[in-house]
Amino acid sequence: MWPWHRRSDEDFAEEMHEHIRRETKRLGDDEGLNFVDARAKAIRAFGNVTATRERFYESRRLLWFDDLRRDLSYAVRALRRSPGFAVTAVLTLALGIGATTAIYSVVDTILLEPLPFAEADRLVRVVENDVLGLTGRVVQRGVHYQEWRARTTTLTDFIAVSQSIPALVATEDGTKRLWGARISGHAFAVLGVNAMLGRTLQPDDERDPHVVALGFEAWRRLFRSDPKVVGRHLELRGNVPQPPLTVVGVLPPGFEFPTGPMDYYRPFDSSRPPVQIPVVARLRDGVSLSAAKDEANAIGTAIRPARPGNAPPLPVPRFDVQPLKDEVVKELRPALRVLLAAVVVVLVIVCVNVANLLLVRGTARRREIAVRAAIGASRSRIIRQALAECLVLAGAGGALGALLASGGVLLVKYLAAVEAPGIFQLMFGSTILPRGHEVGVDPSVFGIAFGVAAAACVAFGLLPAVRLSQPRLTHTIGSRTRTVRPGDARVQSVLVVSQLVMATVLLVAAGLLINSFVRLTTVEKGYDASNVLALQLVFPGDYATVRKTEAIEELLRRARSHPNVEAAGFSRAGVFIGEEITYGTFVPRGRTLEEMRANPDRPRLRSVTEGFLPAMGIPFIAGRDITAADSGSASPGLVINRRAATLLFGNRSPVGEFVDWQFDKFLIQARVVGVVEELRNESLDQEPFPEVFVHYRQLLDVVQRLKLPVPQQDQTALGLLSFAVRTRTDPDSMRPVLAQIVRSVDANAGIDAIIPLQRLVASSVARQRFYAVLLAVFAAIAGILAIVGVYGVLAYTVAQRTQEIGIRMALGAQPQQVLGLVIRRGLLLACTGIALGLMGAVAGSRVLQGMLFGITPLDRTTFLGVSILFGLVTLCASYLPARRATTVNPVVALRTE
Amino acid sequence: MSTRKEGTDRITLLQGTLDLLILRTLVFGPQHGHGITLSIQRQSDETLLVDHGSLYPALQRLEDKGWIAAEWGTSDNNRRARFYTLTKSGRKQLTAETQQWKRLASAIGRILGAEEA
Repeated sequence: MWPWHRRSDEDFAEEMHEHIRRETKRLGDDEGLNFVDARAKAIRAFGNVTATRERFYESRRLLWFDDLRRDLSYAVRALRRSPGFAVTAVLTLALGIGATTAIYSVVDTILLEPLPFAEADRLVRVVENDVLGLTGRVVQRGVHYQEWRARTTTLTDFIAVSQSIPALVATEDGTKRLWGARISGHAFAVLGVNAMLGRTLQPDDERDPHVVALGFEAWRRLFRSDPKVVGRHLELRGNVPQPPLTVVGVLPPGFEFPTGPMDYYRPFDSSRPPVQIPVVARLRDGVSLSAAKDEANAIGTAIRPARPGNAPPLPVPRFDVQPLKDEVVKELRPALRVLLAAVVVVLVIVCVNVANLLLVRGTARRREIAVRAAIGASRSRIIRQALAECLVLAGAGGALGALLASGGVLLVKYLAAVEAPGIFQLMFGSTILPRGHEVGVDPSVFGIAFGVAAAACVAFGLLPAVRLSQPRLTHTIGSRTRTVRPGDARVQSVLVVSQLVMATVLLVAAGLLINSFVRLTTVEKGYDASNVLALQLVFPGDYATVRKTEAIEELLRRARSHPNVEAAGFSRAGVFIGEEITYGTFVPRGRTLEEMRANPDRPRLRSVTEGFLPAMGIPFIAGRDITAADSGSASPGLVINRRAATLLFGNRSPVGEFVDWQFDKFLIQARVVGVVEELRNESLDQEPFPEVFVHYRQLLDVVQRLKLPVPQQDQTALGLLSFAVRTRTDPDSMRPVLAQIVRSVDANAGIDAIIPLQRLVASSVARQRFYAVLLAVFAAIAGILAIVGVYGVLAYTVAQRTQEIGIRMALGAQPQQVLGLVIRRGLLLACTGIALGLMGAVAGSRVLQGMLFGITPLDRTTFLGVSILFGLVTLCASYLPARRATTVNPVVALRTE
Repeated sequence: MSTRKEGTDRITLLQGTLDLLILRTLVFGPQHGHGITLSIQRQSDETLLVDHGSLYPALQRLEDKGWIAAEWGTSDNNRRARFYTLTKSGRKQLTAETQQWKRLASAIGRILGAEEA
């Protein structure tokens, strides 16, 4: 019955009393009884008034919603009486629900729906694989768009899309570098993406290709979010003047195609159609990926010349069709799967823990339940009461879990963000999680997590009530529960051991990742990142080389004259920008050209100015820094790193040695002036190369003599215009100073990135940190829950065996013996759980293989460390109840009998 | 429903039959609980025993099901009483249950009759 027309107990009672009054009167009138007899008979005829009232009361209660409130408030009061239990249970549930929901929501968005396009599952990339000359690295090439499109029967919706190409634009803040691509005019229609402002590109645009669709970020930065941007112009400044492009629209935020953000898209020019170009296509309905792969092989072999006989073998198929989403999630998938497994384990542990807690509580309350059953509480009443308690726990856990989940999603997003301005975004990406901005708490995921936890809660919460409310168990009251029911203890032990097993596996996994992360961040980088400001510059495309070099040198001069600058230098590509170049061959005295050329580990060239090595804090082993005088002269000076020194000179001291820098048409006799430590330039996990540092003017001289085209000369010697500035104060505070110097030297120069090097180092390991932190959080939760489990079971055992312990002590057992009794049990649980867990970890840690640096998945230190640490902590957890056992006063324990 | 034996000449009510009898009684017009009790006893020539106490939960049950409606009012002798009225769906229920009951009764009658013969 609904509350708004619910009948009160009093109303019902009044009706009954009225009945008795009437019957009394009737008996008096009809049968002539006096009032007292009549009333007695009427009451007798009515039966048990109280019982009837109760039945009314109960019947009302069968209508659940009505009285659930009362049950719930009773449950809240009951839980308040044991706050330790309630808080533990609620927190456990909240952690489980929150963590599972947060991670699952993230993974769900990224792994299952990585691309926000129409029929994204069927989008594929068609590529030709090749091996890059010296390095042996596999590179992907585009395919012949037109021919391929004409021949294929398995693919449809061909989209040609170029690699992202840098282009320069002039802004009020100097020159900026944009990354854009050319794309088929029909691409946006095929992908089902609409413009946020104006329109996207359309097929007609290829006939009149001077239009551009802006990416959201570029619109925000370059056009200051101008709502009337459509029709405005974007002037890309190349080496050759180009007509301005007309903006036709702005793409929605987060649009990334094929992968990674793009500042703009422009159509192909139909008068100059692309030849070999990366292609994205869609599998035709009913066509399998393997069928498309087979066809790709057939078409590719038919239209492309065979690879030369002496080409290095390809480790992958030459022509391939790959799901586009693989490209987005390829690197993430193994790690996210590990995280997913971790949260599932945590959820299971949570359920086990709650089950354990409820079983313990149920058993501890068996007397209470039995008493209530004995004084007349019906079985359904007791069960309902237990159910109410479960619902209160689950509800509170769920509510807190929802909060934790939304906090967790924010935390994940925060952890996933990578600080990577300008060019560094290409290296690190701006986030570890693609489409991270779309991630939010997924209500259905929350529903499932909550459902599982609540179900476990209800199942194990009801079990004791159901079992103990059976009438035959009411003898419990008289007997007192002085012995542990072996069944209970066994169930709990199994639960606790399973928790320990799962927690150990997670702890080992987290231990491996943390160990690996620590090794990665403490690896000898070869440079000192503190107090260094990294600066990436952009010059207008039409600047002559000499104008660039003048600006570079003027900038360095002004920077060095600042009192807070200790050293400043230039390099063609700074740290973390992996660009390996080799020109010519270095041949030391006594070695031959052929011998040196055959070595695959040839020294890489790095084009720098004086001051770069000291600014980076690269230690000199011998000799001196390079100077401007080391260029152009008859025998230019070189600085080599330790690895190059070993390669070229073996054990000899290299400083002062001459080395022939040989080219096809000429030879430069160079002299080694210094030796520096080797540095991990590209990334912390990449082994250092042998490197030769040459003054950029010298390299410019070389490429001019090699008669390279001018843009390529600039590209080789000046490259991405990296500067390193070592400051005497906090490098962050020097950013405005440097920016001011750049402006004063050349107002047209633009700052692509200016960031303390230390923060770049952090960004470079953001991915590893992300995995390590998340897994560590889960492992910690799992470990704590498992320890709570151990503690709970032992505390329960001690409580149940108080009398037994009392008797033992009365008979002369020493406190240590009692202590040992409990601790032995804890130790047994811990050893079993941890040992099984280690076995599991041995079997499972292989999945971490690709995520580790400097250790194997079976790293002994980690395994040993985790088992010792976890073992000790569980021992502490069993010490507390053991301590309590020794404080049992035999007299008191026996008197309470 | 609680039933009680008190003397051999009276028949205890079968499960569910009280509901039927209440509905049947109310066909003749609104009635209060006490009236319903007396009416059932009189109509069955005092053969059926209605435990007065069990009447009221039954009434409540029927009210919850929506087969009868109740309202406090004043009775003939100026006393307050809760009057019960048969609702539309109660009338339907009565027809359905009466037929069911008759079928059941005749079936049982045939079985018992056959045994006697």
